[in-house]
Amino acid sequence: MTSEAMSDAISDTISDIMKSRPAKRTVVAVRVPLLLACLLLAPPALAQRLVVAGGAVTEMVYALGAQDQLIAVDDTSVWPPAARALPKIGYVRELPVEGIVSLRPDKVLVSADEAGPARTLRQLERVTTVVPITATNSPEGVLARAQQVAKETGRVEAGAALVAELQAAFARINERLPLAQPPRVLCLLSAGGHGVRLAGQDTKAQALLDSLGLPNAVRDQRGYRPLSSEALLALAPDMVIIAEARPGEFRADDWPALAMTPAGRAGRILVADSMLLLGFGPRLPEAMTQVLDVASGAGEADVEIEREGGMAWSR
Amino acid sequence: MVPITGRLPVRPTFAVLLALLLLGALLALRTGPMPLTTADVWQGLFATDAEATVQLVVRELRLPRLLLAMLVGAALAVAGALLQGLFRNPLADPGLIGISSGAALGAVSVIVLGERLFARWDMAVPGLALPLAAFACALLTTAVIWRIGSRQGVTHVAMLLLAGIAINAIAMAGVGVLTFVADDGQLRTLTFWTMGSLAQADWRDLRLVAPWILLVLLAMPALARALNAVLLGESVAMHLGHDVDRLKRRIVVMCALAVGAAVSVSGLIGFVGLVAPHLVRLTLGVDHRMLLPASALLGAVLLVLADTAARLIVAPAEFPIGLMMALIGGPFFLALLMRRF
Repeated sequence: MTSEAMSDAISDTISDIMKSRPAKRTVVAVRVPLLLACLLLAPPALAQRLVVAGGAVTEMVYALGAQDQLIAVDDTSVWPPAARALPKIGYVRELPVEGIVSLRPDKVLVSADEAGPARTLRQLERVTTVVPITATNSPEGVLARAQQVAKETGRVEAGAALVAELQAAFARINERLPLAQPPRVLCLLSAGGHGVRLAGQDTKAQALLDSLGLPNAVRDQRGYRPLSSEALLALAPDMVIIAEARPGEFRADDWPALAMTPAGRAGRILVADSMLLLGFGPRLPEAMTQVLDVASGAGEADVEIEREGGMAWSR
Repeated sequence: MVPITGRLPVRPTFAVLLALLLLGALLALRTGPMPLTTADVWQGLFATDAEATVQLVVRELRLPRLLLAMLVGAALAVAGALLQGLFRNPLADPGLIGISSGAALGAVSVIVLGERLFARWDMAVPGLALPLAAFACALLTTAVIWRIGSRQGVTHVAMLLLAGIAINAIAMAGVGVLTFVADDGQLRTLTFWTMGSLAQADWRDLRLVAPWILLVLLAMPALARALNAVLLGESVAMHLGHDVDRLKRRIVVMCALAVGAAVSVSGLIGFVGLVAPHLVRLTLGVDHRMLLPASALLGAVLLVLADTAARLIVAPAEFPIGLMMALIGGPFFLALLMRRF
């Protein structure tokens, strides 16, 4: 936090005291000394203007509590909801040079696998610092990403805490692995009214399955491909994961064939947000746990189950 | 019918067009997501010790982009005017002889297959690959259509148009196949390409396309008289002493060069080729000696203005200029047409 931000926070807190009801005062009474302590003890946090291109990197910035540095993000930065309120610099692969330069950022963090075009990044480098953030889609990759973003935002301690937290979460997940009978999983990408596409090899969905040692039901295709109801039946997956771009986008009524697959009969269907499942940000443990819960049939009590036409749906 | 001579005097109209182009250029240099004063722009253009940010924005972003917008606008408008004159059809555009679909096929091939192809030689896709492929494919498609449309040295316009339709369909099917095999990122990139954009404009692009477009702009006055004669019919033009087949060949080659070059760096930008010559015809008449240069100027003005708007409207992000052009130009053109009826 900057010293200005700090003094702002203190004056906010003081005005809170003036306005607050008696019950709140004890909390506030703790906050003031805490803030003062922060002011004296905290390592010099960076007061920089930060632009981020890449949804997972934005999530990381928030997870590290460095969001006060953010001045703009790209269109894929949709989580946490607060990120949506920031100025948008457009699509991550078509970044505008002048648009970004006009924000006068001290640093631009870009997701190494997506951000571009290369020419834009080269031009940006002439007037600001462009930092490609490592993008290996695996638990180790997420840890490396957390460390790098922590370093670039000057939140080293928060970074160490986040890494420890993530490592603990991964360890808890690893205790449950490998599964005795890993189901063959079909990952689907919902595209609203335009149907769904299945995820083959060389996709982030494949990376998610790899992190849990689950076999992909699609063996012989690369990338994302359109899926027909008949192909869905032929694949006969034991489990289906549906990644939605927008919540509630996938309508089960459109896919009666799903109920006839082994996955549908066993109720092993997971519908979740695509940035959660495929973002490879700080929420990866959460995504892995959700997948694992459905895959192992365990923890069904934790997952909210909707019954739709006799089929079990976990959201 | 559109009268042969327009309602407006010629010289003042050209003066107004030039003034508009100059104003548009100043506006384009002066405005953008980055707030700069006129003094900043002046410094960025001429001072050697200007601030790095100002220098980048003015010299490396706005100036090449402005010049490219002018050239691309002029090329598209002139090609439209030439083809409309040649086919004696107000709806003719460079798409008819396969330039757009060919360029699209070349560009999309590089977007979708480039990475895998160049990975064989262990290299990234060079930045030049896309514009070169687009340019080459535009010329190639046009050449194929031309070959089919010509028999024993005589070109039949009807055959040319039909061949164009067939080859366009084949090229667009190729684009469709590539779209099908494209992954997510490639899909987004190719969608953006088909919406047109000057956002990536830099001096290299300019060096790449300026010679072709300037060549065509300089050569075009030589065709004006023959095109005027063709307005009376091909046989009349022939009897007036014009070699109509040579004229056709020249126009097709010139359009392929100018539009192929323009499209290869800007993506598909429709509408300029249609609307600029029409506006000129409505105001100055159909004499190609006036029509061609006035269309070039007006096309440049339109694209510069549309591009300026595209940079501002959703700043700091950017709006695709192809869409911008259709969104502003469409209603304006309609209003103009309806007033005349």
